[in-house]
Amino acid sequence: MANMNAEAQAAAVGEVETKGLSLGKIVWGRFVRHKAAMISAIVLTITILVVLTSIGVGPIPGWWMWSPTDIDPTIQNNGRPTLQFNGIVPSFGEHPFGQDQIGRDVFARTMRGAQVSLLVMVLMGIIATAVGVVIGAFAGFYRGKLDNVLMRLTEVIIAIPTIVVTAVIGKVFGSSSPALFGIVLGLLLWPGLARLVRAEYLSLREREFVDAARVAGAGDRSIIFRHILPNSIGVVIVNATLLMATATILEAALSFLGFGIQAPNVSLGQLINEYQTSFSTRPWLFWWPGFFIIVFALTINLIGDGLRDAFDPRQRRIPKTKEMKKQAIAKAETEVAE
Amino acid sequence: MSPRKSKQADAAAEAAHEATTASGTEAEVMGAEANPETGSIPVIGASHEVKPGDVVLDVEGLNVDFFVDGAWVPAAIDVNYQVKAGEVVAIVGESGSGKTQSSMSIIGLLPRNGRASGSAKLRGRELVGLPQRKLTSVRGPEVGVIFQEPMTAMNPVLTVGFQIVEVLREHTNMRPEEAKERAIELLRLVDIPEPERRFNSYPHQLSGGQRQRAMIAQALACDPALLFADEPTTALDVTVQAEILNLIRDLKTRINAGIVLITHDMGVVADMSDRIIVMKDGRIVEEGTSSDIFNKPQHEYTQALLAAVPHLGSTLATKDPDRVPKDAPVVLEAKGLVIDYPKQGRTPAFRAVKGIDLTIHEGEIVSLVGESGSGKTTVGRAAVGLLPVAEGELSVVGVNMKGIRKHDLAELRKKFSIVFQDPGSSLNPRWPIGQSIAEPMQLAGWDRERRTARVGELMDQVELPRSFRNRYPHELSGGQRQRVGIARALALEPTLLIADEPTSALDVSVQARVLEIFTELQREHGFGCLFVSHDLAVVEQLSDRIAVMKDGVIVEQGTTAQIIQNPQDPYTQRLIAAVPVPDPAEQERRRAAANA
Repeated sequence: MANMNAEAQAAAVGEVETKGLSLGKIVWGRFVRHKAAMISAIVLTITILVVLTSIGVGPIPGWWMWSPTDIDPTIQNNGRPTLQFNGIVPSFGEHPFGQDQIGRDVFARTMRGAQVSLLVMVLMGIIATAVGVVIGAFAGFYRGKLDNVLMRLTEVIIAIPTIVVTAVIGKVFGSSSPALFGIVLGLLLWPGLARLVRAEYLSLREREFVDAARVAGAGDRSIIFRHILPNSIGVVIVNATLLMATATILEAALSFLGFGIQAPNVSLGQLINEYQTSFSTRPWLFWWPGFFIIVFALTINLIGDGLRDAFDPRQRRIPKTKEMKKQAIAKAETEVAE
Repeated sequence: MSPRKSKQADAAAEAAHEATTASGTEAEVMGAEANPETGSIPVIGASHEVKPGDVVLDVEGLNVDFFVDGAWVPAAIDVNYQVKAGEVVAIVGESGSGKTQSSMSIIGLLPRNGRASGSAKLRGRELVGLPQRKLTSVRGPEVGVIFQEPMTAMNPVLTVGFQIVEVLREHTNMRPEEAKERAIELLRLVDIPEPERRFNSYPHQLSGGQRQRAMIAQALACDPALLFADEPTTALDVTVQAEILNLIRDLKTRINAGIVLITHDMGVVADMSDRIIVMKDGRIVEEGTSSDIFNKPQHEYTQALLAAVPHLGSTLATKDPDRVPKDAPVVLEAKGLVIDYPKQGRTPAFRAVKGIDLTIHEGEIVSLVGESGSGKTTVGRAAVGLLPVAEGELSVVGVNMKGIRKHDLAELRKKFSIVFQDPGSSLNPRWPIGQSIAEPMQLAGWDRERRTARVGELMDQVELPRSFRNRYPHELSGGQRQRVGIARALALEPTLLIADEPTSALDVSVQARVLEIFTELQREHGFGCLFVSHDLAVVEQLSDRIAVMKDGVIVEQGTTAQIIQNPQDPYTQRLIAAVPVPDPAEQERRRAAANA
């Protein structure tokens, strides 16, 4: 016993300078070590940068020579993509993603479509997550009447068919506003998350650390958002990323059906819709929009996975039997070398 | 949930899973041996015929390693022991000494990152290295396990009867009616009242003691030759513990099985075991008969372990009845205090405390003792404003708590705090401990630098290395976590501290150290303290006065010496008599007296 204390004190004296890290810093440190999530984050960042800068945003011009509406009267090689690889060195040519039947540059159009889709996705993700978390948290934490009211509201929203609402919105407000479309999707898709968050809060509010926080003097809001939320963050993040990935695909599906973004506006889904007739003659017209849909959905899901692991301090991977052996040998070797 | 408990829960889940998925060919063979024509309940253990004195389990050179951070870390090294039929072998040691893992490795219940080597022969059959499929025919019919916490080890959505029948039907070819009959007989064997009715009860409908009995019945279902009891009574009250120990002792002679008792409680060991194995850091440091170990411990670790056990009545001589001046200010006063648990859904309101009087002065430690369900924790929770006062008066630090307004309560909370029973669940699992300790200061509006300095100071006081401040609760041991709990409670220099069984989840030696720190800090800071506990030996060490609670009423109240030496109420007398004493001879004498 006495020995242990001496050790503990020695350790204390030796490492007095340990700084108190905030939760955010610790989570970030863990996220950076998650390989798949980090690669996804980098890929997504680069994609977004290219999407934003290539054709510019609004009045700001981009670096790409064509704009989505420019028509190049000379259709080269039947509009085939000019992107080629000599080994690993790519040569872009004039229309790397090809041209459509009237000579518009597919790259520029895909970039515009990706911009619109991103806007819809981000707006929708933020709104649905925020509304879902707040409603679910309040319902689960306070229970009783408030819970009843909020949950009945949730059920009403669930019962509304998304397609009908978006179709009506499209007819009433015209098809020109992707932002409005994103907001409406956000206001329609939060109920799933709200229910999951409520269930988490119902069980977490009974835990002793909530009592401990209350005795320490924490108010309701502090308990809801600072104490319980980090404990249910796994559910929130998994759901938010799923929602955003769903939004990309849902937006594509709705536009494809003719309910979402409409011409002259372009989105990834609308591009596919517009070019579906040329499936056999010019398949590249929807390779590229499809490719970007996949990139967004995949990277966001992987990032969400990494975030969830980073927030869960217990997350520890148990390696396979083979890896265990390898690592043990490697460690023994380094120790011998030292 | 503590990592240890969850490990057990996992193991139980895995065992249940294995039991339901694989079909043991051996079980069929054994079932065939039973004779259904006699009409009586078949003797399932016909193949286990063992005479008293036969070696049931022979462990030789058993090693258990865990793969942690890229290397194999040993949990048990070169473990050798034998268990004979009709014998209780106790393995004692602190958490982390490898006592549980070495036993679980024998029946193949190690987590995925664990491995075992060496030899463990069950009646001549090698178990180490046996594939899981074959082990399923060993677990159940040949080896039974009693886990620490029956609430987590039993499936909450299945009836007790179903869970016993499942074991029987898996390993024998009994018909459903036969299995049910046998299950009811087993429930009767473990002294569960109304076994026919209890057969259809769910685990949560039974009391803690009954649950543990049901789990014992399940473990005994197929007449195993060997029984592992992993801390079977740690989660129970003293009087219930005494009953369960009686039951196990009784079964030892009736079923003629070898029993391996894994525990850290020297009192239980003294009461039960024939031979004792002391483990430390994965190695056996001492082995001998029960009386040898208790009377002539050789190894210094065994001596330290025995010394850490609190003895009832050992510290009375050092008590100073005038330690707290009579005119010290009152920090907590209850008069005719009544507390209800409010109605929740279909559960009706429940009166947990039925009119008690209690006074605590500044600098005084008053203990509230009683069994689970006595309402002692309820008093503590009401004192910190977690439960409303229904009737009577409760004033804390001079403020009346009855109908107190939210704002006043928030202000008052800077003056008192609480240490919870289970540090594992009372610390936010997603917060580094430094942030948990700093929480009360942050809410009181301290700036960052002042908080950082104070957290370091507090960690020194509870003897935790400052470098631990960025660790998460699950990365600390139970004792370290409880120190974090104490540090947080002391953050704002409270005048009243409620301690709700702060050491009941800890090992004896760890408990001794935490209590020492607690006492030192109390002397230093001079706060008044309400110490809620079920352990009279611990209470006696700490407190100036003791109040004994039963069914929501204080049955007896007085100075520590009065209560321990001269208890008046029969309930107090019973409580004191049920405390296990770490001395086999004394336990024997008591048993004889009780039976006479």
